[in-house]
Amino acid sequence: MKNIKITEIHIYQHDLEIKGKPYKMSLSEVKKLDTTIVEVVTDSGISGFGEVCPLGPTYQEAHALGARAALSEIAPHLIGMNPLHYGQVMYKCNLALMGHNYAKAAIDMALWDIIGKHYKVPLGELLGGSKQNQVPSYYAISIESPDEVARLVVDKQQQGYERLQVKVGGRDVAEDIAVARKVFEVKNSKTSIAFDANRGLTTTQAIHFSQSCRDLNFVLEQPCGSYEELKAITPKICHPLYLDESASDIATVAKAINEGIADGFGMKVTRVGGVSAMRLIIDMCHTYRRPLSCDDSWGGDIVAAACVHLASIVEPSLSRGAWIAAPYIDKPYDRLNSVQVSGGWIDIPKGPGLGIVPDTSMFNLYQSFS
Amino acid sequence: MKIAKIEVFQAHLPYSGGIYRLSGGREYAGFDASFVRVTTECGIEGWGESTPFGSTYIAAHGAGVRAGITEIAPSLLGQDPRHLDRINETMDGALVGHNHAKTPIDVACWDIFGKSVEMPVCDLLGGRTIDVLPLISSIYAGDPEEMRARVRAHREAGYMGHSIKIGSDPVLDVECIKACLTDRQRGEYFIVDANGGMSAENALRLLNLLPNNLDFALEAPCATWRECLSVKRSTSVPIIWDELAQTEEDIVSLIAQDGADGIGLKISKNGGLTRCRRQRDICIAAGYTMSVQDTTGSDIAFAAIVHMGQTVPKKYLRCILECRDMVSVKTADGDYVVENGFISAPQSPGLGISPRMDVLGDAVLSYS
Repeated sequence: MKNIKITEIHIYQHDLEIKGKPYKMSLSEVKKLDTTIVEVVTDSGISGFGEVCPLGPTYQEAHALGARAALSEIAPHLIGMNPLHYGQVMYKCNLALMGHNYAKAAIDMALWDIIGKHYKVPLGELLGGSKQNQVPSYYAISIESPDEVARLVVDKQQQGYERLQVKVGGRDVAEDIAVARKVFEVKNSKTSIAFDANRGLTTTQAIHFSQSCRDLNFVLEQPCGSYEELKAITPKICHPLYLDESASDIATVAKAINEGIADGFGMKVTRVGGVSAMRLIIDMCHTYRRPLSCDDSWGGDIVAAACVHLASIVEPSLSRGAWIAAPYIDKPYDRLNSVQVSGGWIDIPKGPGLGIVPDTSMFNLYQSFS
Repeated sequence: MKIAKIEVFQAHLPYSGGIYRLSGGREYAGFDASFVRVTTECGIEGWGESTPFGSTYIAAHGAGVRAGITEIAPSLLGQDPRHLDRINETMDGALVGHNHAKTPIDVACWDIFGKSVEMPVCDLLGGRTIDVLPLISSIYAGDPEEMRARVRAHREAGYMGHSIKIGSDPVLDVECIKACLTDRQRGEYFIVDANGGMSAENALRLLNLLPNNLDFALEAPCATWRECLSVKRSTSVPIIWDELAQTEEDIVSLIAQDGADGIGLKISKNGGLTRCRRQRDICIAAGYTMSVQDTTGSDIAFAAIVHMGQTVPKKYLRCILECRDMVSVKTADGDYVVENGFISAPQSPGLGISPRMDVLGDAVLSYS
């Protein structure tokens, strides 16, 4: 097999403006997101792209400036390595910097993009084969009044969404309960609902919310901040519990399954370390029959492509689809192959690797290594 | 009182012993240090330092410290630096996690608080104990006899505590431990520190190979919670946690799972003096011992160590780290004199240090 080498690594910065109103969660509100794109250039003429876009600095332990600081620390060590040997390259990343999986995820993603392009197959095919040509998306409704949430539920159902995630927390829990009641007045029978508090509830509030809504069939997602809090409420709540922010890495996912805490996961590709880590987590979820979605906190076409390729390999009965930020973004990186939600579903890019050819001229070059 | 300005200074601190070797092939020739100066509207200055131990000791590196401060600093302008819990809430509201970035700001605010009321920081953290603080050496991994010689050299300088770095191979590690403990003197305290570099299997093999009359505590045997808990449950040797004990939540979990007998309380790893104070109290409540340290650092980091260490009752204190010995640059002056391996916190207000501006140079970041 021909040996190929990493010759250059470019790190780009780009602002993703949010279309319409600011995006509101229980603990924060954002108007634009600072994303980081990594281009890994090889001597075979192939370049791979990866991206990481933390949802502001307080969604979880990740921030854009930290991602670029980490990538600058790591990138020089990778020049000259064979990108097809992604395991060795990622090991080298760990020797250069401990932790910072979210930043390393952008490199991992770029390597898989290169591997797909090298073998001329889409990422989903490399990872075991896509089980579907389209994956369902879900719509995340930010913190709003009961009436506004109800209006959006009706609106999104009409657009074709079968899964809706409604943000709660950070206010009087009675308001959250009112939202839940209102949602179930207007939702149709095939729409499934998750209430996501993004760590914003105390254990008391989470238990109260769940018990007050015992008759409503929904998933409770990441109600409290820490794993220990989630563990404490598990026997006292009436709804399936999905982990998101707390499912921080492979070991925690394994523990949450083994300890019977997680009934499912809202999984974030970059948080856990990229495509390689997600592939293992998907295998674990298949083995233990835990549903998951393949999302990211935010990001443009590159992150979106990684999410949908990964979602495509999940067994449909366990797939909770993919959430991508595309509905909030005006300018795609690749007008031809942009990953978009249409009628609640997302087509999987067909080109090799991630299937995205980003227009790098829209990005600000932050740093280059060769 | 209001914060008017926050500045960041940077310095390279060469390792004083050439190359520092840690388990897993990690080597450090020097450290990327960040220093913070917080200035109030009324002109009081406070200082803090954050110096990660390379970029592979924990998930912290020098560039990340400064990236974190960039995220945090603007939100602190105009706040009262003496309201330390509020300062920390603001920092948490600006950036989740990243203890290493929050620490120098937190420490600088304590320095200001102390100066503003003309009290040393340790007296604001609960009051000084009557004891002098024993120093612990840091004996990096090497050849057994050569490590023994370095222990001896530190002993001759008065050190009563020794931290022996291991983690290459159980059979070789056994030789290093035996050599280092050969000349053990009455009252000496030994930590055998693997810095997370062993598998649980190797840790247990190592412990089984050792003669059973050696008196030491095993620190950070493995990289993950599961492995460390497994080792703790399989041995009678006291187990100290360090890299994996970074937050109050970690320590509470550790106690709940009976996972340790003590921790390494490192100021920048554990989030500054405000958080270390809380963690100190949680540890005392649980009967955990602690050594007060930092990842590494120069005079300003050492000042924070000494002030925190000075508040820990003798029963729970297992030495403090003389990090100044590990670097060959002096960044501040103050009444920090080691006598026979012991030190006490100075009586002067705040941290009691005067930074050397010729060493720290010009600010690399400034917010006002």
